[in-house]
Amino acid sequence: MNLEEGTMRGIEDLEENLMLDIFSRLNVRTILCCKCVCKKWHDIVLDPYFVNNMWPKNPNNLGLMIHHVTITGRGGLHWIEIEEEEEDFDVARILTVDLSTPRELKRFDRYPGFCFQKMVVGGSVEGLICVWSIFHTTWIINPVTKEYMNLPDAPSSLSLSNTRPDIISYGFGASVGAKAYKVIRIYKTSTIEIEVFTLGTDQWRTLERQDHYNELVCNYMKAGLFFNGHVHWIDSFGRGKLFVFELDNETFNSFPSPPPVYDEKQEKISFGCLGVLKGCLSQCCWYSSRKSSVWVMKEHGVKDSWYKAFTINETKIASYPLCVIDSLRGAILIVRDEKTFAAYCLQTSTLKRVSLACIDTYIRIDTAITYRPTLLKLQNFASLNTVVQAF
Amino acid sequence: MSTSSSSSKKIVLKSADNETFEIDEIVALESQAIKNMIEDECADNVIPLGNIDSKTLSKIIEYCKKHAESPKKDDNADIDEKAVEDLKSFDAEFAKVDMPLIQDILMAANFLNIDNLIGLMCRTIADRIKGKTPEEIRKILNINKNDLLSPEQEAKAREENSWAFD
Repeated sequence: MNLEEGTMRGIEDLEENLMLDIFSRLNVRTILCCKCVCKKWHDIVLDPYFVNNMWPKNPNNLGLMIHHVTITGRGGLHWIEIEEEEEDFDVARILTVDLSTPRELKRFDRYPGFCFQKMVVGGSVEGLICVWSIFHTTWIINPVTKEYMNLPDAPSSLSLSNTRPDIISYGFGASVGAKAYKVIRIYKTSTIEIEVFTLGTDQWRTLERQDHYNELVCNYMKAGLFFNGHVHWIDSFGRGKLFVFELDNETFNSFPSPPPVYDEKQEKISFGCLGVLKGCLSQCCWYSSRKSSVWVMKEHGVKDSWYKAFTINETKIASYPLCVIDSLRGAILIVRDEKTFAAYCLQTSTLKRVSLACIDTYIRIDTAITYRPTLLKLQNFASLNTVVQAF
Repeated sequence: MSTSSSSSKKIVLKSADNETFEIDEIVALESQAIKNMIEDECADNVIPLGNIDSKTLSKIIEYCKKHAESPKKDDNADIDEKAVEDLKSFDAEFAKVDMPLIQDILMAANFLNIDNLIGLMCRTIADRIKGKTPEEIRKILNINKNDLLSPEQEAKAREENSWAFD
């Protein structure tokens, strides 16, 4: 044990494992600044090991993606960072990093059909976002690397030129076995059918029709939540019934819901949303009495492991929940607010309104999802029919 | 546990500038590298640390002493909350030093394999550059001018994620 080099100094001399350790503690904006600091850092930040392994595990790398639509049908995606300060730990301070400033929106306009007009968020997995439009186009977007790709048309959209199928929902997830990103499209013709697109391939696959699909869903559902190798959907109109698509073996089934709450008022779920809290599937139930509760499924797939983690009696939450997210200090419920949305810290029962400064016209928040930004290049998934473009 | 006998055993560390530090073995065991040396019985009475100066080494010993005294998490399930808080504030105070020393401590801690200290120093560096511009980061960390990106490369890197620099 002797090194005769004398004292060491200079951040450039730090071993790469230490640099990775430091980077993994930074938020995404700082990491992108680090990319410009020097050659060595530039290479580390873009290194596939960092992009694929370190980045997704970074606990600071948690935020929200909000999709808003305006009265004219336009809208945009807003990436909201959640930043927690040492002194200010009971309320989540939320910063807005707007990815659709007027300048950016104009850029979208250069590509016909890609201006978020009547677009719907179809889910997010590891920082990639799936968006689809009522004209049946599907995109995958990485807002951080400013790339997007247009998926080919699904067979169901092509075969019926006049009567297009009703889309029930989209899901986006990654299979565990062979790491593959899959877009799932549930639609209704005379029966319920499912199409799957694996990123990196050229075309959609239609899954074999299964009779039990028809008994599962019939209502439109918000985009599915990807967690633990499954995409989960909640049918808000169907009193909060849950469904899952298992990405490895591509099966679609019902999934155990939290036990129904029948108190003296015979309360029923009037709205529900899903999220992940402390590594477990969670569901927020908003009851007819405007009370809400947040449930956590301790063991994925085990019905009896659902337990009630929070009860919210406050009338502060005037509108229904959009999603439940984890933060470093605890769980946060994102609820629709008058104009934009509000964050409700479940541990401290504090409510923080968030305004999206860039927007002054009337808007409606359509979707809120947990978002973990990534530097993953869409180029990795390009194929003959899916060309990656920059916006 | 033979705490009394092991804590009375002494280890001597010698810094690059030939200063010697006599410490309890239990303090030295905070370093996984020294622990391995002792277990493999390849440690002499004096362990030379030719790449760590005395200023850095005395800081590291200060850290190890404090952490060796504090009850370990796995020793006791219901660990004294006060002790945890105490250690936390010690760590916070400990990290209030200038950047060159932080870097020296980090490199030395990495060499000596002191996990907690590596984490503390990495966190400190991360906290100091969080939210800063590339220019500010270069200044804070005194980045070598020879390693900068070419102006074209930097312009490209900034353009790719221009929103991050607003």
